[in-house]
Amino acid sequence: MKKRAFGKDLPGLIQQTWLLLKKDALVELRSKESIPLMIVFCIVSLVIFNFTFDLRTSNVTLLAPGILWVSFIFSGLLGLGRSFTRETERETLAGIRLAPVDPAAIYLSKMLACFFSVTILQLLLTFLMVVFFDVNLAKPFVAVALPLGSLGFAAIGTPFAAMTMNTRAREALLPVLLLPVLLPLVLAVVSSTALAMDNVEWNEISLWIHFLIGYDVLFLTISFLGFQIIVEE
Amino acid sequence: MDGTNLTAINLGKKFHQHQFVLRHLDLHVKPNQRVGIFGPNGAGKTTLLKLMTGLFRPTEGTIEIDGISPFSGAEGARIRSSLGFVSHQTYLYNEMTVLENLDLHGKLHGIKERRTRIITSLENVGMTDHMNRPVGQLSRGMQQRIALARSTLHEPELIVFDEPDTGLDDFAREKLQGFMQTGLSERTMIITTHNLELGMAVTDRWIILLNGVIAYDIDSVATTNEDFSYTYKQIMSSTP
Repeated sequence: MKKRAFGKDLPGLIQQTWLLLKKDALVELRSKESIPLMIVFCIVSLVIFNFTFDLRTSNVTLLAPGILWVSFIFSGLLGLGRSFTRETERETLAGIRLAPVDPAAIYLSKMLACFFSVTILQLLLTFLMVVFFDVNLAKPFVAVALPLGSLGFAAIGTPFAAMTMNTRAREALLPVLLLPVLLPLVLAVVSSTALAMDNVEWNEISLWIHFLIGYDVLFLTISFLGFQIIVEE
Repeated sequence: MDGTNLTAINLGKKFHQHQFVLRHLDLHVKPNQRVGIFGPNGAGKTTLLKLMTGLFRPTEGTIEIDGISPFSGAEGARIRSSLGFVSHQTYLYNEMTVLENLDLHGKLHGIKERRTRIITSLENVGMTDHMNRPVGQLSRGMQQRIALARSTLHEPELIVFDEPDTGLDDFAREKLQGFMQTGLSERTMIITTHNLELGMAVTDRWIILLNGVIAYDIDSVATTNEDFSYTYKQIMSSTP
């Protein structure tokens, strides 16, 4: 008897990414494990900042970008770690890898899931910053800096979360390993947010925006190409 | 269907700085052969199966299925689509229904007539009545049957079982054994289990793995169940 032609109609990279992204969204919608946790953490941290610092000064714009991004990074770390811990607990990622799935599709789906969830978080955070600290974040360059920062966070955070998912102290290890790598991103995004809030011209902020684009492209490329090694090890 | 063959040459695997779990392992499994791999905990059985299915990359040596490495890009992906793996871990998403889990698996394998195939697979394991229930609400035995349905959904030519009877009651174990004996004809099958009786009943070649090497390898026609059980016990009792 003739052998079957296996793998003839396998989905391509984009289709695989879309299927896995839909699966992640469905699992999150039903389990409600990551996004509500991130939102609660974010609100609590902003309340603490509000009571800890006297922010009702004329220089609130000096502190606001830092508060915004510190709250964002720590809340985002919670969601990032959870997305892989969930897969480790029942070894479901191994189940996906048993199918003929390109590891790059796993990376892209996880990265996009992280990007979308931190974008939701960021919208909420921006609103809360206005409520708690009365700062005006409705500036065009803020709208450029925030998504670039989120994308960079998701691009580099995803492989680090994957690397630490099988370690015993993963919850502690993820921030310890990731935060030093995120430092340039945090510096650039806080500076660009602060400048954007000051209504500066493009030539004053362009250096930071270009840096953010470069950071995002670099880490997206490295992670996309290197994710296979991470999931196999 | 025509089963697939598997060849491992000088296969070795170690994890980070630890010692080798498997070393210098040579194995050839012929098309349609049914191989039972037995051995104590830590013998390297699960590692060997994960190397076969492409979940682990070998530290040394090669593994090929129909002459193709499961790690060789598009060809590797094609060959991985001809494999099925049933483990004591079900690899199912608790939050998704049985149908959603199988549908995702079918889509990732590029199966066109998914609905029909899903229903047939569920019928084979007697689970059609539960297809709209979330996996997390099912018992361990039911989940294992869904895992079995998922692993056979794409009609693999090589199917690998890693202690599939773990946590199953006698009734579920009997159903599993029946399915292995009658529902998986004309396929190459490899199974690891601590249950010697089950393993011997569903396979025709028996291997004992010990400390990462093959300690014993015999066709079932060349021995009897009693002799093999005796040899197995002798080998097991000689290990510290």
